[in-house]
Amino acid sequence: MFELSNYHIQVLAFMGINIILAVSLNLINGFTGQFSLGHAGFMAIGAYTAAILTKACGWPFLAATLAGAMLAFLFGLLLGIPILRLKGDYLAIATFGLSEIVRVAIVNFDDVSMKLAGYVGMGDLWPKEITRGALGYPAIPEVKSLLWIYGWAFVTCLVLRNIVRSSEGRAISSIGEDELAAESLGINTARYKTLSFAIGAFFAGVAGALFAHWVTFIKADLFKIDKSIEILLMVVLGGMGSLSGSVLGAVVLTILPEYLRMFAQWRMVIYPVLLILLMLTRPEGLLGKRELSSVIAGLFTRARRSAAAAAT
Amino acid sequence: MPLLSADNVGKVFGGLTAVKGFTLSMEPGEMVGLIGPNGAGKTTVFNLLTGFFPPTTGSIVFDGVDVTGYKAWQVAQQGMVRTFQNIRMFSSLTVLDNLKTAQHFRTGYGLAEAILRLPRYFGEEKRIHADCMRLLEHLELDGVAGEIAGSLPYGYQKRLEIARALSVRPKLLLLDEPAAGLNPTETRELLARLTSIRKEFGLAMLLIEHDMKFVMGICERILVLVYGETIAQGLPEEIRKNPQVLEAYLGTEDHS
Repeated sequence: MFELSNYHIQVLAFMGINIILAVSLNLINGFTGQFSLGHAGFMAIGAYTAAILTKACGWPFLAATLAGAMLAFLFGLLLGIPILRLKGDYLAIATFGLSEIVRVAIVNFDDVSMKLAGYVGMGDLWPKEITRGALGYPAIPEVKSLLWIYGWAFVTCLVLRNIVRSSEGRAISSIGEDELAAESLGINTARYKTLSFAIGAFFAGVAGALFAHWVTFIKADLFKIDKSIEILLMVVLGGMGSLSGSVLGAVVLTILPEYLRMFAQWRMVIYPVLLILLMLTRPEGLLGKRELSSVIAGLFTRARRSAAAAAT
Repeated sequence: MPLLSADNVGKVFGGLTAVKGFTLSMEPGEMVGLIGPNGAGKTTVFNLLTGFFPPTTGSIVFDGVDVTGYKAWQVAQQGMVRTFQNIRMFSSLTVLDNLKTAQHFRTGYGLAEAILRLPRYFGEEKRIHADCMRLLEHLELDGVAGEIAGSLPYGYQKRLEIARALSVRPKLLLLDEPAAGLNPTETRELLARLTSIRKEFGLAMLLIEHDMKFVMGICERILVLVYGETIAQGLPEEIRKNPQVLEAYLGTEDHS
């Protein structure tokens, strides 16, 4: 009988979290066509908020997860309004900057908030340690449950599928297709860009909360640009604008590095090379904009056709 | 009350006057042509009317609403919808989804209803589907409803763009060179189709076109734009004989 070792369970957990991250980033980068490099920032917001709420305030896990996700959502909404006026490379740089600001804010949160509290005469009441800065946030209550992670992964996929296959989703996709044409048909593109950005941020926040309670120790450095790029790579590999593609991308790019462990320090060399090779051979990703179900259906009809051709 | 009344609309880009003193009043159901040599500012007029550029001067009142300074999507929601000179399709969506997208702002369910798949979602989706299929049938595109829009031949894509604009249910349709790139047979078909669309949907049309026979054959009134200024306007026969128009198009007679 095959037993899952702790190591395998850990890989499965990260795979589930990566699925949530990749699918939600695909809504922003793939469907809406807004190139974001800031997903790790939203993940950090969710991770820290939920961790602080469960550890320091004793909140239940689900409530803390939702609170972290809501805060990420609000950040996405508020920051999306000015930032999404930018396009292409400029947007990518701005979202990258955004996630760096989040990271630096977490590192300096205790010092700055302490001083601010001092100014308004609340210095004695204010807790000395909230995010614990660069030291990292330890001893988060452990929630090592694949059920939570895959439950959330399922919810993420279902919610995003329902959004994409609705009028709201058509408005979002039309922006990725041709923003001017979308405007000409009465679609408030600014609104839907911001909405999709915030929804993506929400699920990144969920992923962050799950991650924090699995590893039980987080620090701001875990949510740097490498993490954002890692997620982006999953989306690109699977196909921008294909939800099942993102799931596939997350699965492949969680397992692959495990096999590459013997070349650990070469990982960030192999990754970009992989990305370049992919761009050269299959610029639209593994599935392109199609979903896995339609690809399989297509394979069946092709097989049937060739069988029919062979019969005649 | 006129459907559209543009008064003294002008646009200056930097130091360049692209359109000057453009004035046009259109009745509901009227068919007006906008002609002029290349670079005369015809497309700029479209961009100004439909909110893609804010005008530098003048005012635009559409269907009783002052839409001057409105954003493009707001103008479209009022019922003034344009097509583009270079087709702008949602290329990787299906033909049907292209039309459905255009119904977005009239959809009677919100994000929560979509996520939870409440009854209103199904009801509305059914209505939208039926609505769009009817429109596709009318334009003889129902046979390709499930095809990816970008894979269609050029003529079909041009027709699809009109179908998609109609899906917004406009009161005024602005067509930017609908016959460009079509062969003579397709052009004749388009002419018949536009006439029947107009009868069926009772909408007004403003169209930019280079094909003179086409414009003369379908428009009740024609405006001639040269260097951003309206140099003539009137019935097709009047325009055909107007010496200023002839000069703008053919040059003066005694060129040595």
